[in-house]
Amino acid sequence: MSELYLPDSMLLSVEKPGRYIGGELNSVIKADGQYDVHMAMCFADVYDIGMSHLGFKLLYHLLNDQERVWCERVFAPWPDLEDKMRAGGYRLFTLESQCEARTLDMLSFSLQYEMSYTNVINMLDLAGVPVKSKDRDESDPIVFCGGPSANNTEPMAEFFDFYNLGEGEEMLPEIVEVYRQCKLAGKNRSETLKEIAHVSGVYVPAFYDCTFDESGMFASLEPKPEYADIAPKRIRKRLVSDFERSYLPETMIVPNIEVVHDRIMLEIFRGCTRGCRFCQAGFIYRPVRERTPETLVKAAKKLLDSTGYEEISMLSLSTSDYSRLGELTDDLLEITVPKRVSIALPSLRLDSFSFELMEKVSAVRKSGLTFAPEAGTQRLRDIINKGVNEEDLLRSCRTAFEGGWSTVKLYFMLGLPFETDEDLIGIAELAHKVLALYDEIHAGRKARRPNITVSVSTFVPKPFTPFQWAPQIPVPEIIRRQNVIKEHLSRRVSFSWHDPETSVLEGAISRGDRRIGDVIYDVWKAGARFDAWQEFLDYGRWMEAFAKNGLHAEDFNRRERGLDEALPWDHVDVGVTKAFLKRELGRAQQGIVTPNCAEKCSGCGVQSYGRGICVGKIQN
Amino acid sequence: MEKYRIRFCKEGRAKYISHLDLLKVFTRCGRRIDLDLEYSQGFNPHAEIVFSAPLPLGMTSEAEYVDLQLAHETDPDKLLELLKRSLPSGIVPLKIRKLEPGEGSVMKPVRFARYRLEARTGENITPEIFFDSVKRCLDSNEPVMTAKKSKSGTKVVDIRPMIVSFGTDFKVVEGNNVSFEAVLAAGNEVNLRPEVAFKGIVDKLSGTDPSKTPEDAAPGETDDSFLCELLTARKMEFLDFEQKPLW
Repeated sequence: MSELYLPDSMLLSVEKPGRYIGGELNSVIKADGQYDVHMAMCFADVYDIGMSHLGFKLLYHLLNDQERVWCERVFAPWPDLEDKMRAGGYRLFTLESQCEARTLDMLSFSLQYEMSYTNVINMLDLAGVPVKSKDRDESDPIVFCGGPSANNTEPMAEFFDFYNLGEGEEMLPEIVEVYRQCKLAGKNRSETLKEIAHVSGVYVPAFYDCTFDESGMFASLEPKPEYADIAPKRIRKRLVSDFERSYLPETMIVPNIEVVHDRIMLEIFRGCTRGCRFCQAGFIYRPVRERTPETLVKAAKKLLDSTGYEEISMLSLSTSDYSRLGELTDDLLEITVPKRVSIALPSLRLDSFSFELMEKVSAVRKSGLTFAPEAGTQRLRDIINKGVNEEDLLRSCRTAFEGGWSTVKLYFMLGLPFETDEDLIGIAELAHKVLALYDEIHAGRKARRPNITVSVSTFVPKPFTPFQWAPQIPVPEIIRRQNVIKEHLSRRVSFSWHDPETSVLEGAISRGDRRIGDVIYDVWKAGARFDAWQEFLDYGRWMEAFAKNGLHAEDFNRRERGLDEALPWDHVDVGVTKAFLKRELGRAQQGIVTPNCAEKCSGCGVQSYGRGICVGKIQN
Repeated sequence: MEKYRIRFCKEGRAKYISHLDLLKVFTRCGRRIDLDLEYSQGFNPHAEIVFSAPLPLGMTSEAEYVDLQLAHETDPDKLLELLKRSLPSGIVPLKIRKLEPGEGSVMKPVRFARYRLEARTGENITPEIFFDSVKRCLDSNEPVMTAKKSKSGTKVVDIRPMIVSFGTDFKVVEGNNVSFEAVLAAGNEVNLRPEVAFKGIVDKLSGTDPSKTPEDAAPGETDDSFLCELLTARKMEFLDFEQKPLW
């Protein structure tokens, strides 16, 4: 086993040194000569977060299953260690071989969240790799990215050599094989990038010209004439050809230290039929594709045998929408009960069927039930297409309270399009109805004090949703609306809210264009890192970086975009058409609900892939 | 119900696995090899796995112990083989034995532990002079005052009674790096960590006030030639009250 890169004295002087040592069960070590391509999956946050991420672990094992490829892992060191590394002249290193990341062939970043972008730049800098694509030469690794936030390519376009758009399971091995051929043939960096650009779903920012009009607004993004033959005008996201047969790992790294989600995660289906108009995941992961219980149980068994985990969690955007949930749960229980393994059923819609299921898997912790009505009035819930009504919610709460629960968490958003103060007051009123229901059920009896929490996040409009044109409210207005709820809320209900400044920054980056890249670069230069962590976020520093570039975060947020305006993400084709999104925005304005795609196809456009539940559905 | 005691090594990268995380490592290993571990009753049942006293993070050891409580009798050699194959690298089972009914905990007879330590001595001093000074210091039976953490906070105490030997069997590893042994109090009652013993002795030799760090001391107040750094510590074995090694 290789020696550790950092000295023991340094590791023992920081928090959780187990983050930096690798060597976990099922991590992959390959010997010299066993591989031609040496790469790493990089996660722009600390180990405990990255190792909780199914997609990251799945692609790690997938890449290591390829012949002639060794894929290691790289995480951001926590600031306590980073400071010591910089002071001692140490560079960003890989966990498995404990070598400097800059010596690898390729570094692949998984982009999960806009606020981690300063960490991407910081990691490249700590690695000793030029942070901008244009400054890298033959001695540097190729740096690329994928993941949900990568769908708006432009804010980080200057920092990546290329982007993977869509699902990585088939695209990544293809890319790595193209790279391998290029490496063996002795091709240089620019020749290699041209070859990689041929893989469907790949976007190379340097092959495109980005123009702005005289007022400084984004105008167009077109392939440069010299790359017109290899750079498509629009890049269509990749989908796996057959989800049922797509890669399901049989083994998974088992961390030696506690991480956030430390369990087997079984992805039961991809996509979501619901079409909530605020939810980016609901549109970019379309079409909905399920795996069969047979495939899932087989995979679960292998994962249990190879990891020894004590918990299996089903993973999807909405567990209740899985068509064979009862059957899958029963089949899983057969293998989990003898092994004392528990089953977690997250994001269940709470109806009588799901209460029955929860009893069955004994996942019943009487301390935590969550509901997400998202908005306080039926009018606004119809606008956002959240198919939940007050009766559903109160019925579920009644079942829960009668079953002995006393803790309920209600999730809402504020700042939704077309929101009025009435909708905010509606949040408080809904919470009070839940409270009154509890009191009614326990009337005249000695009962536990109910613990009801209203948790309100701030809505951030995202690309590829019907609200991508909508304005986002500024900080003072966020605070005012938080206060409206607070003022109307009984003291018997706890209230929690999100930091308004984070939401404003997230909004500006989410819908940003290439100019935002300079802001991210400057704020990093000024010392920003771990901006996703409240304790490190410095809003003033961000505002200065915006000002230095003649920009303001509000320019990206407050303006209502024109429906015919060119958008910085128009060159990315996620399958859902802009025409459909416009139609959905129109229906939102009129408060018309769009049916679930399991009931009726609304013609979002993703049917063009010919996969999943869209097959055989008639477009209206 | 059958109990098995396993002695294992903790070394390499595994020295960064905390005592708390070790329980999870063994429970998961048990599930991988289909071990019929007994579980506690109650709301949050946990596997009946009991370890010897926690090893400080970063220390390696050849004398870690774990008792596993199984529902059925099993072939100990087979069990040892399975554990060897399934535990993560750096946790290496050495031997196994079935416990007699009523046999007490591993820690009950433990009074001392033997360690092998590696240190870098100062530039201006030979290892011979250094260890000779350590020996004279201990032979004098004078108090060795040092700051020691306990449940009630950090106090400056005399650790001399907790040191059986220190600096024995020394070897030069290379340059100024030396390796040597120490026998220190260990167990449920009194326990002295090797780095605390090391600091206490070095402070005494260099004349450093135990409540100060070397940087705080006024120039000329201390004899810097005795300033040296503890590099690694490895627990070799537990000893009973007659200083006989444990199984």
